[in-house]
Amino acid sequence: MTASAVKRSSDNFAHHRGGAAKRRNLRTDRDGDLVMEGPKRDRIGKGPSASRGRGGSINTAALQREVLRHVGSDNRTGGPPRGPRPKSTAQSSLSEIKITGWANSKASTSPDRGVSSLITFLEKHASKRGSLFRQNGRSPAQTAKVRSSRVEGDNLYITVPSEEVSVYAKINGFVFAGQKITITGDGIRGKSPQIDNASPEPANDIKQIFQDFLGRRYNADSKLLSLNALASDEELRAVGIFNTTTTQSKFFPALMKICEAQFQTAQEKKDTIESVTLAENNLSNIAPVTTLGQTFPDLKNLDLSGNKFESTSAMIGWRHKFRHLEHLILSNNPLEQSQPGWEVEILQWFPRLRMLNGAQVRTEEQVAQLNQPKKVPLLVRGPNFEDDGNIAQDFILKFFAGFDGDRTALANTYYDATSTFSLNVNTHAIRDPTKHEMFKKQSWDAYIRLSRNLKHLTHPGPRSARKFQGPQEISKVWSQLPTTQHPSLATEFHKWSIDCIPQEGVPDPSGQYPQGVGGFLITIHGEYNETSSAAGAGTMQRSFDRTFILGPGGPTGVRVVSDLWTVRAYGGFAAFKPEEPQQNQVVAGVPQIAIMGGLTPEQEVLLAEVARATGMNLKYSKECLDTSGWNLQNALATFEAHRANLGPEAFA
Amino acid sequence: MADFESIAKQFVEFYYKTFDENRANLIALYRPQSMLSFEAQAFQGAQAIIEKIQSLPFQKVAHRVDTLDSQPSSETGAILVLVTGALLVDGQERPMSYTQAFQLHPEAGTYFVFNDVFRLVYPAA
Repeated sequence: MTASAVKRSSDNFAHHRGGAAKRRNLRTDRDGDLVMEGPKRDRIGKGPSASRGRGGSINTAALQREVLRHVGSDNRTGGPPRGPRPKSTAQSSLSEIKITGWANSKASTSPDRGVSSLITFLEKHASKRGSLFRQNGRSPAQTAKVRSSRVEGDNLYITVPSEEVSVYAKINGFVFAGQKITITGDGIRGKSPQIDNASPEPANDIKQIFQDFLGRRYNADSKLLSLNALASDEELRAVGIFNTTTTQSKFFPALMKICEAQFQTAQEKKDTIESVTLAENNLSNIAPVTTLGQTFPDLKNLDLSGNKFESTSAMIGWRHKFRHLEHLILSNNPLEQSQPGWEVEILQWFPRLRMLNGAQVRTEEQVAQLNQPKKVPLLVRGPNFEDDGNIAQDFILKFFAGFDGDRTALANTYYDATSTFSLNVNTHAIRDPTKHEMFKKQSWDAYIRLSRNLKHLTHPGPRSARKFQGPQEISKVWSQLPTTQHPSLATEFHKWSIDCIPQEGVPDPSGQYPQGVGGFLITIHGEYNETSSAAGAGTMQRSFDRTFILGPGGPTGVRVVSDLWTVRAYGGFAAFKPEEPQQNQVVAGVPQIAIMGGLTPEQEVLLAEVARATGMNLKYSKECLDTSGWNLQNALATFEAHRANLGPEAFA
Repeated sequence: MADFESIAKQFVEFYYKTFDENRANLIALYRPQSMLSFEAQAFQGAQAIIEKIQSLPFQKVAHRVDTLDSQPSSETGAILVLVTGALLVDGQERPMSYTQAFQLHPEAGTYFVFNDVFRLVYPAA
């Protein structure tokens, strides 16, 4: 490479520029920007990374070049344009660029002052940056090659293919052998070195124009970015943005990119811009502005009025975007006439939409329900509890108090030699998304080695080893499990779901009744806190399902025949809430009229019937029904059983 | 006779497969003395139970069994089965958690469902 080999006169090229710009209008260059001119496809199904990938970057780079041709040369340098200009075709033109700042590098002691290593350095880094221009099936950019070079004083001039100038721009400010180098030349802006991120940025002057534009169009008080009637914006027109379809189609994505760059975090963006209007833009579909959905996914208000949408399909790319959109304006679009029922479709697209064209379409309550767990499609009712003489209720109260308190005593009270207990862990259970427990790491160490999940446990050995029988075995296993605190059955009953069903044929330990005796099947769903665990401190909230078979026997007259316990991640108690309001607990001294409050018509009839049949007052009649599951016969039986103990106050 | 764990497992697999494919066929598992508690609504007898099951407001359903455990529960060879899992109905995006307790009673070398206690423990979100 001799210094003078390809020395070119700036003037030779400068006057070609206008013609080059015209002829290049719809040509591709090596960066392939015209690939973007193909059919527009919306990006449904692509994640945000796809939308910010190379396509977008190249779009911007292409825009930059397109717009630059309209804007004129790099005016900030003041003087006449310097350096070579592209020739009539992009492929064959060469450009000269100047490198300074290397003269005092560590490599400067070598005979050529480090120039050859500097050129290698430039080629290497330019090639790496050049690879970013690969896209959509096109062959990778060739290795950047410096065609010729010359040194004048402390300046190195290199000649490179014009279309590669932009990759050299990207390594402007790189450190070569301890010295920061500066690269200047036509098409290279004074780029600060730290802005060397992966994607090409719009040139600073275009950036400035766009930033000024955004500044003019943003209203901080209403957090509104008005992109109304873009084509009639004087300043954008002045720079020729809308002169060609090419620049026009690239304008919006570039604008969004610059918008995006203004914010450090998504939250900041969300807090700054809540509303966007794109009214009066003559849009027949959203293709030119579809990137709005990626840049402002959390938008609350969007005005698309006065466009040319003929049907909702014109905006299909935004279906299920804008998940927090509250107000949408589509007035003065043809679809209002041409697509009856368009509103219904729009409502489905945007689940949190409250206002459409200024009219309320959903209430706050309806939207709030979206954030609540749904109770569809199965109807959830209050517990089914058939319990003669409060045997089961008494057991449940004592059982959980004992389980939280003294498990050994509990085992000895309710479990005999034939009682069985087993435990399993449901590690797949759905967690409650409203609780912080959702995000806690679920550690099942204390349980899992005892877990008897027959779905996975297939060998008879472990199956048998994880079924525990008799109070000794059972209390020993319980002692290995984390200590617990269950919510109060008296004051936090809403956190429980308990069913109790009478059972026949329950084993009789006395052997008196070989066909078995009466007992109960009790199913309990609820939650507890771990107050300690073998693993160490830290309180964990769990949900559980526990099923008991109760039969007669044992020291209290009631014994556990079977105890099956499933432990799972905390899932809350939303599922236990009855659809119908439950009767309130009767409080002593409450006026009789208040007792009637909250009752269903059926319950009022039952209450009146019990009061009539027993002669008790409403308060006692209701208590009686409460303890009898609002079953008339049970209530009358309960009354008969307790009649002798009732004082005169029951009948007053 | 197979051990009660294997019976429980076979039963659970059969029950949910039938439920998900054609729930009307579940009637074969119930008897006149069978009882279903469905979210605390009680139904007795195979006919009432199957009517309830068929009237559930969804077309397609898929059960996923997460845990299954069983214990013998009576002198006469009854088996208590506790299942927890998730179920997905029709177009719902998220599953619901359910638990179901079965009491299986032996009958002439086979078993029928004596008690069936179903409850959602976590609704769809």
